[in-house]
Amino acid sequence: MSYEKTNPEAVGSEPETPRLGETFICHFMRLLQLARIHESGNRLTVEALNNFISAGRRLLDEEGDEITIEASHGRFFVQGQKLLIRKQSAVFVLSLLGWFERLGLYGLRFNAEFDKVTNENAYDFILDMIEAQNQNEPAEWLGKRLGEERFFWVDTIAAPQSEAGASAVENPELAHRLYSFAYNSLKSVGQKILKGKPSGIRKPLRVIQDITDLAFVNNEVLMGIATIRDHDDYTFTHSVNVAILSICLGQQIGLSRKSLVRLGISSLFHDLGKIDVPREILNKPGPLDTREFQEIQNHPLNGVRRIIKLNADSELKARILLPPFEHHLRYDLSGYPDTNWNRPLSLFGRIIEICDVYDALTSARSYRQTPLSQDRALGIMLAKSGKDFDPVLLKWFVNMLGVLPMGTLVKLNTGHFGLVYSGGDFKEDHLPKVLVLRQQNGRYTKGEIIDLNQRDAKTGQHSYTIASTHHPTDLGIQPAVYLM
Amino acid sequence: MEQQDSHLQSATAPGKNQVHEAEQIVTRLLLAAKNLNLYPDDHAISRRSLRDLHEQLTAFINRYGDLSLEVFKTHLEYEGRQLLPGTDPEQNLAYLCYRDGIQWLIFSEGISATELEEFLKIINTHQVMEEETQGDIVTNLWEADLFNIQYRTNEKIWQNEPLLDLSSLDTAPRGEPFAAATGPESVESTSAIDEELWRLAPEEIEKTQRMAAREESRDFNEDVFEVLLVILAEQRAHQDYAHLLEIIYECFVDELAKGDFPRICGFLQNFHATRRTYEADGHWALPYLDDFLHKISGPHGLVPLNTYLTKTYTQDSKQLEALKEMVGLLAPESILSIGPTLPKVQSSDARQAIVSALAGLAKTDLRPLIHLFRNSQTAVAAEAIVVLSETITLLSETRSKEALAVLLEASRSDADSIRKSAVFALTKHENAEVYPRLIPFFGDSNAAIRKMAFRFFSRQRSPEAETALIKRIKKNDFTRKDAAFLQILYQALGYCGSREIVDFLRNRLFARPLRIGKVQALHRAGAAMALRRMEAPEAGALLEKASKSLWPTIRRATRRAKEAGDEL
Repeated sequence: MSYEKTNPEAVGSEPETPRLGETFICHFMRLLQLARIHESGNRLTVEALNNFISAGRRLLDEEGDEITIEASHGRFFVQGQKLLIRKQSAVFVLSLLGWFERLGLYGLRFNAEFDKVTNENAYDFILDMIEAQNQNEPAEWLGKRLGEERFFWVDTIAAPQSEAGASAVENPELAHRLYSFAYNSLKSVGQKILKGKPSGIRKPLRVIQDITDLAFVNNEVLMGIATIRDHDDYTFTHSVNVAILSICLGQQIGLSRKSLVRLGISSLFHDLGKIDVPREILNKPGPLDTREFQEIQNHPLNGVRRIIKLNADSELKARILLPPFEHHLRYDLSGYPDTNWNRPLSLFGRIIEICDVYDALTSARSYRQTPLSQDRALGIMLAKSGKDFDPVLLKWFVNMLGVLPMGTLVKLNTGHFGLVYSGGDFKEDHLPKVLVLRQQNGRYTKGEIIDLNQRDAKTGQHSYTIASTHHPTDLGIQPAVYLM
Repeated sequence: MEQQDSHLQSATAPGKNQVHEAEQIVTRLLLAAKNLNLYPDDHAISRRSLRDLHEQLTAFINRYGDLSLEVFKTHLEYEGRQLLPGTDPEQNLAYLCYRDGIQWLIFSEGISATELEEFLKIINTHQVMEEETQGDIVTNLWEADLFNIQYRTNEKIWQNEPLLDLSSLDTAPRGEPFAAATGPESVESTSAIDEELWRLAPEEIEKTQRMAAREESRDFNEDVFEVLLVILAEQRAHQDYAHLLEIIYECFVDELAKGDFPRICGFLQNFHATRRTYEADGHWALPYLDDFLHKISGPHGLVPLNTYLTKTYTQDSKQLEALKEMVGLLAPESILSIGPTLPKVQSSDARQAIVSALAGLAKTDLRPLIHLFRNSQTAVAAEAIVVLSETITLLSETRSKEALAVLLEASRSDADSIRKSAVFALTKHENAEVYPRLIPFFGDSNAAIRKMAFRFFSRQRSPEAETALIKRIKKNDFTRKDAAFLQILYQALGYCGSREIVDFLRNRLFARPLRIGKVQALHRAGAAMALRRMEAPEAGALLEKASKSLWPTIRRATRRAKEAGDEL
C-alpha cells in the first residue's frame, strides 16, 4: 500500500467511490453468506450474484481499470481509500474483514475483465473463498486457485513485504493518540502514587495492548513517535519511549503478543521508582554527591516496591517486576543496585536496558545538556556491547532502528537539514530517505522527501550525501511533528 | 446515491425471523452468563444453558452468517434493530460492553462452547467496575484472544484525555542556548562503524529465537522469590512489607501447585537466612516474617501441597528429598495443615518423607502434633502417633517424657488403629518404663497388638522385660479367665528371661497342687512353657525331671509345653 493511497486526508475526498465500494463489499459479503447455504440456482443466490456483479461493474465504470480491496490495520481500503464503517453497512464490512483476517488474505484485485464475469464464474469464486477456510494455508491456496484461467478477472494481492515499513506516515494519528494515552495514563498512575492513593493499571494495560497491536502492523510509525522528547516531564516521555521501543524490539525478535504486553507494561513502569527521588536531584545540573547518587541508585528497588503496591493481581505484578529491578544492573552485572544479585539479566531486563540507555543518550538531560545524535548514541552503545549490553540484542536494536535511525537530523551536502525518514543500512544503494526541512519565517516546515540512493545521471555519483549528523535539539524541533 | 443506498438496503435488510432469532440468542447469552455466575462450572444447569446457547448460535451463524452486534448504552442492535431494550443497565450486557468501550461484538463461524464460556466469564468478572482496577472486559478479551469472538472498540475510555501537543514540548531546558551538538568527537556514528559489529549472523538469529522461546515459558515465581528477597533484605519501610510478602505468598502457593519443591526449598532457605539476620538484632520486620511463615504453613497456603500429595505418585528421590526439606522449613503449625492429609498420601515414600519432616517440626514444638492427635478423626490421630514416635527419637530425655506420655495416652485409645500405632511406637523405644506399660497388651482384643507386644518382649534376653514380667506374674491377681493372658506372660518370660528365673519357674512348676489353689494349674503350665522356650540346659533338665514326676498334673503340664507353640 503506497503512501498516496492511504493518506487519511484522501479518504472522502472523492465521495462516490467509498459508497460504491461500500455497496460492493456488502454484496460481496451477502453473497458469501448465501453461497454457504444455497445452491447457485437458488433465487436468493442469483439475486445476490447479480447484485455483486452489478456493484462491481458500477465501481469499474467509476474507477476505470480495476477494483482493489485491501484489508489493513482492521479496516478495508477500496481503491486505496479507507472505507468508513457506517451503521448501515458495518455488519457486512466487519464480517468480511473478519473473513479476510481468518484467511490471512491481504487483498483482492478485480481487473477490467470483471465486466465479462458470469454468475457461474462469480459463484465458483465465492465457493473457493469458502473452501479456502478449510485449507492449512488459506491465502496461499486461494492465490493458487485464482491463478487458474477461469478466474481471469480476479487475483489476490500479496501483503507488502513490510506493510509497516513502506513509510513512516501510516497510522500517524493512531500512534499520536496511543502515545498521548500512554503518557497520560502513566502520569496519572504517578500522581496517584504520590498522593498515596491506590492506582490500578487498566488504562496503561489498554494502551499497551493497543500499541502491541500496532507494532504488528506498523512498527515504523511507532519508532517515529518514540522520537518525542520532553525535557520538563522527561521521565514520562522517556518511559513511554522505552515502552514503545521495547515492544518494537520484542516484536522484531519474535515474542508473542502476550509477552509483548508484559514487556510493554514492565518498561512503561521501569522508572516508577523515580517518583521517590526528589525532583531537585533528578534535575540537578551538576554532578551528584554520594547521598544524591544513592537516591538515584535506589530507584530500581523503589520501582519494584511501587509496582507491588499497584491495584492489580499478584500474578500480573509478579510478571512485570523483574525488568524494572534489572534495568540498571548492566549485562555484566556491574551496575546498580548493589545487591548480592548474581543471576544473569532476564531477556526483558536486557531489552529495557538497551532502550532505556538509547533514549537517555538521545535526550537532553540536566546533567548533560547536549544529547547525542541517534547514530552516535548507537555508536557509543556498540562500543559497550557485551559489557553493558547484550551483544546480540543490541545488534537487533541497531538493525531495527537502522544505522541512521529515523528522526536523526542530518545536514546534507547541499547545506540543507533533513530528518532521516526511513531506514537504510548503508550497504550499496540501500541508503535512507530524508525529509528535507525548509526554513520559513524562522520555523522549519516539511519539504520534499529525497532518496539518498538517487544518482546524478551524468556523473554516476550520489546526488545527495550526508555531511554530518546532529540531534534534532540543535534545531529545537520534535522529529515526530515532521515524521507523523 | 439513493440508488446505491437502496442496493445496500436490499443486501442488508434482515428478515423478521432473523432478528427474532438474534434476540433469542442474546437472551440465551444473558441466561448463560447468569447461570455461570450462580452455579459451579460443572453444574448441570450452567452446562445446559451454555450448550443451548452454543447450539442456537451455531445454527444462526450457519443460516445467516456472523452475528454482529452493535453496542449501545441501553441495548444491542442487530442490523439496525434494537434487541432487548430496557434491560436493567447494571445487568445489561450492552451496558457492560458500552462502559468499557466496546462498539461491536462479532460471533463468527466455528465458535466453540469453550470460547463462549470464556467470553461470558470475562463479562461476569467485570459486572462491577471498580475505581482502580487491573483491567476490564476489553483487556481480558484481548488477553483471551478468542478467535471466533471478535470485538471492535471505540475510544470511550479516553474521551477526556488530551492529546499531547508535540510542538509545545521542550526538547531542552528553556532559555538556555544550545550549542551545535554532534557529541564527543571520539564517538563514531554507526554509519562509520564496521558492519561486523551490528550485522546479525545466522547463529545469532537462532540464538535469539531460543531466547525468545525460553522467555515464553518463563517461570515468574522464581523472579519473585529472588527479587523480593533482595528487596526484603533492603527494605526500610514498614508499610511496604505486607505488600511484598503478599506477592511472595501467592507465588509460593502457585509454585507449590506445580510441585516444584527444590525451588521452594531454595526460597525458604533464603527466607530463613534473612530472618536469622533480623533475629540477631530484633529487627522490626521480624513479626512480618513470622506472620508470613505462619501463613504459608497454614491450611490455605498448603492446600496445593495436600492436593499434590493425594493425587501424585512420586518415587523420584530428589523430589522426595526436596519435599522433606521443604516441609522441614515450614513452621510447626504446618503439622496441623499437612497431618490430616497423611492417611491419603499416594506414595508411601512421600508419606515417609512427610512423616520425617513433621517429626522434625514437632521437635521444635510438640504442641501442634499433640493437638492434631487429640482433635482428629481416628485415621489422622493414628498418623499423628506415627509422627510422634519418630519425634521421640529426636528429643532430649526430658522432652521425650512428654511425648511418651502422649503415646501412653494413645495406647489407651478405644480405636484399634490408634492403639496399634501407639504400641508400635512404644515398642520402638527402649525404656524401662515402657515394659510394664506394654504388658497389658498381651491381653489386647486385637491380635495384631497382642502379637506386637509379645514380640517386643520375646525378641531378646532383657533384664527389664524379665523384671516387669515376673513382677506382673507375682501379682497373683489372675483368675481362670486370664488363662490365655497368663500363658503369654510365661511364654514371653521364657524368651526374655535370664537363667536366674529358672528357680522362679521351678517353684511354679513343682508347686504342690493344694498350695496354689485354682489357678495353680495355669501357673504350672505357664512355667513349663517358659522353661521350654528358654533353651537353657538347666531349663531342659528341669523339664526332664518334671516329665518323670509322680504328680500327673506336673507331667501333663510338661508334655503340653513340649507340644505347644506360641499361643497369642
